[in-house]
Amino acid sequence: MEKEVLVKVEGLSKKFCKSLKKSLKYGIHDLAANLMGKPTSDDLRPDEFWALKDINFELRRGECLGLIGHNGAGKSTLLKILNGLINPDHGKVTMRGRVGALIELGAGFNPILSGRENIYNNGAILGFTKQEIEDKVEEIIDFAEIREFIDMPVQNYSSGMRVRLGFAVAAQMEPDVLIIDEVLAVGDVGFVTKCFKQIDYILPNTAVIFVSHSMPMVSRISSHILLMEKGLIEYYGTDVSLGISEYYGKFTNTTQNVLLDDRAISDLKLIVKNGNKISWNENFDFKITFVNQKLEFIPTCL
Amino acid sequence: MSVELETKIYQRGNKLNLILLVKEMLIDLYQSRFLAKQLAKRDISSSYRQSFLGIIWAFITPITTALVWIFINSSGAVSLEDTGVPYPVFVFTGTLLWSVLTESINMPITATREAKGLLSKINFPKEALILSGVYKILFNSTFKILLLVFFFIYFQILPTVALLWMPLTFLILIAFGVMVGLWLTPLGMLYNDVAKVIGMALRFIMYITPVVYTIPKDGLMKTLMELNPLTPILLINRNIILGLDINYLNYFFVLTAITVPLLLLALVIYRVSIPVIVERLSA
Repeated sequence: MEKEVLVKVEGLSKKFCKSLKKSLKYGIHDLAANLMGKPTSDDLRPDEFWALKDINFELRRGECLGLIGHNGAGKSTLLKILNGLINPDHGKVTMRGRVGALIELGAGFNPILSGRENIYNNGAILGFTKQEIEDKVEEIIDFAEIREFIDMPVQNYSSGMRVRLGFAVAAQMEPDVLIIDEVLAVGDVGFVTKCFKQIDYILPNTAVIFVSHSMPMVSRISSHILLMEKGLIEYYGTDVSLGISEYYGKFTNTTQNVLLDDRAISDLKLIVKNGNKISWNENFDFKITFVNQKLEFIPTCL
Repeated sequence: MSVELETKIYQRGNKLNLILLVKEMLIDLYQSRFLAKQLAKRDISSSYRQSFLGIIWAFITPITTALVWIFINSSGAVSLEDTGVPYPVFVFTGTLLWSVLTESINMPITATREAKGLLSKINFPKEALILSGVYKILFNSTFKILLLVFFFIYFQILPTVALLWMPLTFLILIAFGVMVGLWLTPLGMLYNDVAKVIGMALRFIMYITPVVYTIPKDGLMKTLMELNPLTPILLINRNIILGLDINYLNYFFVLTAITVPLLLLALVIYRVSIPVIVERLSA
């Protein structure tokens, strides 16, 4: 039986403004409109564009949505709306249950205070009660593996240590919906593995939305893929490898791949003769086949 | 799942129901006590850990203002009317109360500014920022009041029964200041000009408020001071502390009566405005 839907996004759109002055002016208008209870209009004002346009998806408990796309595709904006930090301009978002967001690890840390004091600051901001933090503080220190430095000011921590501590606090959340935005990039391999173990552990009871530019990580935990491009959905579905290959396909526009840019060459295949196995320092034979769509006459080979 | 999950719906033009909003705001305010306390503790301990003079910074401005006026008064450059108590006590009480008032007015914008990074990353009850600001004001005020106690002992002023009202009138002073500041916060978050204008305006308003001198018997200054809502707020507090005659009580009651609903309304507006502000600041 399928578990209940925890995240439901219907026709979500959001506009942003390119000019700061105008943005502030629209801000005043929106403030006034908001306070009067008037809805914002669907029309774009001068210098505005759709940062998100007509986004639809659902996520159930136990599912993990890998949210991928290039910089500026609208991923972070989408996360901010899901987290309730900013309001949609169109459409509707329904979030059920406790929402935990790993958008910034170590939020509320003060550099001068010690790691231990900052566990309380960070925990309070993430919505823990004092009792909860006191019960979990030892567990957090152990998880972060920084017991030796826990009473040192956080400003002397390395960035990796700060992330460890931040994740260790956040890992104590028991959310129904977990939003993870590119936060695991700084940790070393051992710690990242540990984080994934923790995510695996809570995944069956949680709906996870995972944003990353690291496709191995995405394919490792996602059950669904949402590929975004310029505020629009490019691909949404359960075929993770298809989603990821479409994401890689986006890179064909770069100069290194100019060969494939106009899609003149398709069905490129590399066949290695002795069973696709290539050993170090050994010669091997291979065959390349492709279809050239723009070929008008057969070139002569030497 | 038998447990009913809390459901949040985000869509444009959320129906604004004032009573519901006030209720939600008060619930969040109540639930954010620990967060507010933690934030206040964080800011207080971090600012004093990196400072030699520590808490002294809380009184430096009021004390220097007071010293300037004591000097002006004693040198005879300006002749001030009799205040009913030794002038140094009068002027110290005035400047210390004034500093609490200006701190309260500036607090909502400052606190929200400082939390800009947090606001665009984490969803937490925004009311905690204001509550933590109030905690910090109360913390600083404790030391200011201790300083006053020291002056009382030094100048041998006996407290009167009226002093028992002081906690209440003092809270009204803070609430009034926070209320004024909160009304200006949404606009002040978008435009930096607002905070600058407040700072400048307060410097002038101080001179049409009986901070360092009493209300004159007649003239334009008297009219201005009597219209100025900060006059009764400051005067009642000072006269209660110094055991002087209480004037402008009616005006004070009116201000108290409107402070509570205006404060609630300002908190609701604050709550509704934050997403719009976050969007404009982090876009």
